[in-house]
Amino acid sequence: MKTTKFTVLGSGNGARAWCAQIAAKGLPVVMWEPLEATEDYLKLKEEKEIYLEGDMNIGGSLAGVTMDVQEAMDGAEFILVIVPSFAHEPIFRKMIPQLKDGQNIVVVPGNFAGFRLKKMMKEAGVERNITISEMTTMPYACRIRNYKTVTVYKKKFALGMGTSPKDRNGYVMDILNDVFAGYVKYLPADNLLQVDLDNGNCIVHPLPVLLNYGEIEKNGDTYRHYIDGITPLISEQIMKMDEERISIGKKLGLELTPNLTQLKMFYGQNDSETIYDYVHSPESPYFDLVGQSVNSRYLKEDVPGIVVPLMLLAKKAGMEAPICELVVKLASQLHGVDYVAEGTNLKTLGIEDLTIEEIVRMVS
Amino acid sequence: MRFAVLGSGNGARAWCAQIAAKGYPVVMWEPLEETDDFKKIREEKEMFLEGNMSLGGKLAGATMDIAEAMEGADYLLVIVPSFAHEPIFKKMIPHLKDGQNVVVVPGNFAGFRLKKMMDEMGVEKDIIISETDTMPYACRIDTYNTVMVFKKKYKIRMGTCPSAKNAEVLDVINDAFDGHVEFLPAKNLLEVDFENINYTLHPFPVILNYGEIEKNGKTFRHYMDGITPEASKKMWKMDEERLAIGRKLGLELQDVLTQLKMYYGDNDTTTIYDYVNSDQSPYKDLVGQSIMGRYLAEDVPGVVVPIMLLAEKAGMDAPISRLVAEIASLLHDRDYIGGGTTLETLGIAEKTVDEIIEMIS
Repeated sequence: MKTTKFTVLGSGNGARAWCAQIAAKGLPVVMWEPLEATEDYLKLKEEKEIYLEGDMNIGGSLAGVTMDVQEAMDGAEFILVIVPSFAHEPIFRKMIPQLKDGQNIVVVPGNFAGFRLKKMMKEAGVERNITISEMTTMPYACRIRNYKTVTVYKKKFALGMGTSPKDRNGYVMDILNDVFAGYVKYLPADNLLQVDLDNGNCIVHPLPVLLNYGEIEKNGDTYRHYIDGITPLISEQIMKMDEERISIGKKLGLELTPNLTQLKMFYGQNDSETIYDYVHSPESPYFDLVGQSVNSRYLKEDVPGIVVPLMLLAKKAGMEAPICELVVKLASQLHGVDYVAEGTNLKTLGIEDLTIEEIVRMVS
Repeated sequence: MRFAVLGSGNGARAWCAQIAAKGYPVVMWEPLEETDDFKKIREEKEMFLEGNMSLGGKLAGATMDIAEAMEGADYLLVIVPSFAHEPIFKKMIPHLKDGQNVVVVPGNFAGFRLKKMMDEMGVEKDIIISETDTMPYACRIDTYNTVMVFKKKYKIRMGTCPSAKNAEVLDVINDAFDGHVEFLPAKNLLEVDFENINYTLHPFPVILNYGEIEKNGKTFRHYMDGITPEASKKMWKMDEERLAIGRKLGLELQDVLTQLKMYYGDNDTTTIYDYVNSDQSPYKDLVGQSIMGRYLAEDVPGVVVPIMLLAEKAGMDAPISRLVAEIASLLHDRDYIGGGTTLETLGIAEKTVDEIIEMIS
C-alpha cells in the first residue's frame, strides 16, 4: 500500500496537534504556516518535530514546514485545513490555484466550508476532481504549550465526518481512522450539511452567554460558561433550541443528532437526561473551563457562523425558527452588529438561488 | 371633598393615611375578604404612615360594601395592582355617578379599560378619569393600621381625561399631598401610561441576568447587581425606543433618567447605571428577585406589549420592545403578546391613532 502524504494548512493549536498525530503514525506530513515566519515557525522548520502531551502523549518527525503553499500541497493526497472558520476564505484563496485532481480536502471543523470552497472554486474558474470532507468539531480541546508541544486537555471519543461526494466518505474515513486509531473514532455522516448543522456550539454557546450577560460582564475572569452558565432552566431552554435544530434538520431531510447524544459520544456515555445533568456528571469535560467575556466568540463567531445559516435554511425551507431568531436578534442588539447581514448567509455560501434539494445535493 | 379608596393593600392604606392626615373624609373599601386587619380597621378607623414620613389620622369608614363606599364620594381612588383593575371596575361601574372623579394609581392603561367596560356595560356617566405614572411612594404594610414608607418620591405626573379637568384634579390631589409629593400635569392619559419607568428598568435586566437570578434570587439586587454598565446602555436604547414611539404618537415624554431625577432627586449622572449607584438612588437595599417575578410576568404583558403594539399601529417598528416581549414569552413559555394588554383588550383595535389619543385627552 502506498504511503499517504498529508499537508496541514494552519499552524495554530489544532493544526500542530494534527501534525503530531499524523507524525506519530510515521506518515509524511508537511505543516504550512499561513501568516508569518514567527520564532516558533523558524524552530519547527529547523527541528521538524512535534508532540502531544496531557490527555495523550505521542509525537514524531514532520516531513517539512513551509510558508510556500505550492510546496506544501505538491504531491499531498490529504490537505487538512485546520484553522478558525473566519480563516477559511483567505486560506481557500491561496489553496485553490494549487489544487490537483484526486486531492482530498478535510476541513476541521467544517462550519459550512464545503459550500464556501465550491463557491470560490467556481468563481476562480477552477474545476478539479477533489473530495471535500468536514468534521463536526475538533477531535480534542488543546493548546500550544511551547513551539513543538501541544497540551491536549480533553480528547473526544468519537465524532461525525461527512464527505462530498458522499460515496468517498468511507475511503476518507478509513484513512483518518487509521491515523487516529486508538484515540479518536470518526463516524459517517450523510453529507456536509448534516455535519454543519450538527455543530453543537450553536446550542451550548450563545444562549447561556445571553442569559448570563450581566454576570459575565461583572465576573468574566472567574465565570465558568458551562458550570455557572448552564443552570437547570437555561439547560431547558437550550434543549428547546436543540429540538428546533433537530426539526429544521428533518425539514431539510437530515437526521441530526441531539446535542446531549453528541456530548455522550464525545466525552463518554452516562444516563444524564439533560444538558445540565451532563455538564455536572463525572464525564463532563467542563469543570475547569474558566473565563468568559460578553464579547466572546461564543456570540461573535457562533451566532453569525452557525445560528444564522441554520435559521436562514429553516426559512428557505418554509419553516419558522423562533428561538434561533431570538438568539440572533438579541446578540445583534447587544453587540450593535447585524449578525444576519454580516454573518454566514445563503448569499455568502453561494446557495441563495438554489432549492433545498439542490443545496443538499451540492454537498452530498 | 370626600374620598373613597378602592383597595386595601400597601398603597391603598398609605393613601388613606395621607388623606386622613389632612382631615378630609376618606372611606376605605376592602375588595376581597373580611380579614382580621379589615375588622380592626373598621373598628378603630385610624391609619398611619411611618418611616420616610410620619403622619396619619381618622378614617370616615372602612367597608366591604362598594355602594356604601362610593356613595357621595367626589374622588374614587383606585389603588390596586393593575391585574385587579378589571374586576374592581366591574364592581365600581354600576355605582358611578355623574361628576365623580376616578383616579387610578398607577394608571397602566386603566383609562382605556374603564371606558371600554363602561361602554360594554352600557353605563354612560359624565365622570373624570385620572391616572398617575407611578405610586407616590414605595411602602409596605407594617401592622394593620401602619404603613412603612421606604422612599417617598418628590414629584410624579398625573394626566386627566378630559384633559381640561387636569388642573382641577391636580389641585385637589396636590392639596392632599401638600409638603410631601408634588403631582405635575400631563397632556393626557397615554402620556402617563408611556411614562411608566418599569418599561425600561424592569424586564431587560432580568433577561440579561436570568442565570444569576435563578441561582441567587434571594440575594440578587435587581438594580445594584442587575443593571451593569452594559445592561444600562442597552436599557437606554430601549428607553430611546419608547421616546421615539411617544414622538410618533405626539406625546411629550421624559427619558427615564430625567424621571428618576424627578422622583428621587436631581444629580449630574448621565447614565441609568450611574444614577442607580448615586447618592440619590433609592435602590441600594432592594434585595431579592425571581425569574418568574412580576418584572417579567406583569411588566412585559402589561407595559412593554401595549407600547409595542401602539408603535406598530402607528406604522413604526419597536424592535427592542418586541425582542424583550418575545424572549420573556420564550423563557416563561407564555404568549405575553397575544395574552397581554393588546389593543383589543383596551378596546382600541379598530381606532386610528388620532382617535385613540382623542379618546383619552
